[in-house]
Amino acid sequence: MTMTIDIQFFALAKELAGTEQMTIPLPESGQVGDLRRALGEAVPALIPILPHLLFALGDSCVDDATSLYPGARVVTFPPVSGG
Amino acid sequence: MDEAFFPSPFHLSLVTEPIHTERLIQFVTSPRAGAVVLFLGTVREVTGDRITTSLEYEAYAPMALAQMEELAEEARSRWPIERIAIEHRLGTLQLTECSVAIAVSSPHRKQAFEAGQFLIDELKVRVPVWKKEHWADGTSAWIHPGLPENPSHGHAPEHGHAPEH
Repeated sequence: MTMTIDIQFFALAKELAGTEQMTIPLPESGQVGDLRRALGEAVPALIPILPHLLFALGDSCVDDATSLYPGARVVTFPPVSGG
Repeated sequence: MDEAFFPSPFHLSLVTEPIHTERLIQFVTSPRAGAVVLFLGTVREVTGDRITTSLEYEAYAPMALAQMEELAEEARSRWPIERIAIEHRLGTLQLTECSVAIAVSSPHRKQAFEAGQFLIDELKVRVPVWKKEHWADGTSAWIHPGLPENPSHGHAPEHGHAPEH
């Protein structure tokens, strides 16, 4: 069984992916770490920054051990540089 | 003032138009405060040997606002703050324009200075806002402190560090 995750990109992640968002299939009960690996396979251009990407659900960051659920809307971005 | 309304002591916002610093000062001004500190981050032309022509800012808004609120709460738990106003500008900014403004009021100046320093330092590492540098040689690149090498089409800035205000 697989589930689909909606992922939204920002800044360099968006530039390298060449899109603002995409849908990634993951095995059910997949975690953020699985999404990170799946993203590298789906978008090889992201591989150089893959270990540095941060992931967020809603308004907080989540770590690689966080479980995902069908239809989860995940956001990903490299380190911040505001100010 | 009718205290029953419990007006928020924070004004936190992401804006696409120029920041009106006078409004921020007005928001934090209070008869209980003896000090108002205003910090402005502005677009600088020279970083190392690179010449900047403009900056482009992008944010993940829901999380940026939540993080700004968390920072303001943290500052108020550490210093006797009266009010805090933070605005971050998004979109394209020209040289000398204000990208971020932080106003803090407190009974005494030391607390306002310390809280202001804390707020800008933490904002720069915790709030999901990113800047893209456009340089005079026609190249450009997103700035992401800590990335080993910027693989975008533009050149990485010297040492990969984010420009500091």
